[in-house]
Amino acid sequence: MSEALLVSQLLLWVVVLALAAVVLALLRQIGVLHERIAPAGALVARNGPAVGEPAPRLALADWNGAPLELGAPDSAGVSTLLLFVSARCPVCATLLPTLDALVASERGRLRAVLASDGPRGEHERFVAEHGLAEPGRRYVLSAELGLAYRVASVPFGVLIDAGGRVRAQGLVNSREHLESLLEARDRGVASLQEHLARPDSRRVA
Amino acid sequence: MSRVPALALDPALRAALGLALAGVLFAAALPKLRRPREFARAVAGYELLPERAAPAVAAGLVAAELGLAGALVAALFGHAAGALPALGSAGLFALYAAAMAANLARGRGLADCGCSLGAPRPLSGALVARSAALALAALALALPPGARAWHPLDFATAAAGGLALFLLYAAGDTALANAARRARAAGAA
Repeated sequence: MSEALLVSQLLLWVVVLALAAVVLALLRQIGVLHERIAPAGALVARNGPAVGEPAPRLALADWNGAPLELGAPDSAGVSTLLLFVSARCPVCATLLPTLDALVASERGRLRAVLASDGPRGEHERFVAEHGLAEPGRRYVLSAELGLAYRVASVPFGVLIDAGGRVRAQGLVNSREHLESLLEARDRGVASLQEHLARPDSRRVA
Repeated sequence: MSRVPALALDPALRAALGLALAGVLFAAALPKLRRPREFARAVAGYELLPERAAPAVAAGLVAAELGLAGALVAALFGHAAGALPALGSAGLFALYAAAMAANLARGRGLADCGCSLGAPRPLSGALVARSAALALAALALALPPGARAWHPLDFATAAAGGLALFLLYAAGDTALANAARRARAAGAA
């Protein structure tokens, strides 16, 4: 019996130490997550066009040289999802198929425009890898565009409605974030955060 | 009149607690050794002594922490000076608690506590309570050891128990750091 107790006791110590170490590691990870989330909060107060304001009108040329107009009202009622990316941003790359799926699900009511800046040479490989020069894809390199929206961090998404107004914007890391831009447009709020902050009487879900 | 039982601490518990407190003091001293100037500035920030004395006092505090840590460990192996290391540690923790409480009473809650250099942590009631609890734990260590004979299993209890207590302390410290970081971010946004 005492041998069984001894074994049990020692095993308990091992388990307790392991648990204590796990708890410490978890708390450290929470700290790291706070660090990652906090800067996004600070970036919400930006100087770019505010939601509801007309989007800056810019006449640019895309990667293939075709003219691309942004910010102008669209007679066909098509909204534009403008996603700022960077060739060296892994999250941006993972968002591309998601973006395609989203555009497909909107059935013609949405077009996607990918934007970045820098010398063309830096983007050759990125464009080739993700087929950004193919028909149906719009990829534009424009420092002016990034400045117009005061983009500090990527991936950054802006939803411009068919009337040429900014309807939603924010940092996007996932499909949920991209969809939240469309949700925000549909619900008439600047962002899901604003929707959740509204008093219950105005919330649908 | 019935005899009042003498208060004593079981030897295995004593060993575990001694190791844990030594760990706490050592872990507290390490960052201060790596960033002496920052710690001196934090000490000056308490505004409890003339600014010129801050670097010397800071060095003294670090020396005290290290010395007490070493003494606590030595006491475990019987090279004790009685309850001195324990009482000294209790005194140090009580000093920290008093200094923090004094500044909180003055309304200087935003001063850096000097306990987590590199990521300044504002003073708070939680920090005072923590130092007070540590002082009480050190006082418990000053109690005489119980009369129970040492058993080989007690080595495991002392080592594992001490380490577990220290890990839990570190976890609590991380939780406090997270709370401070959240408060800072909320203030900035």
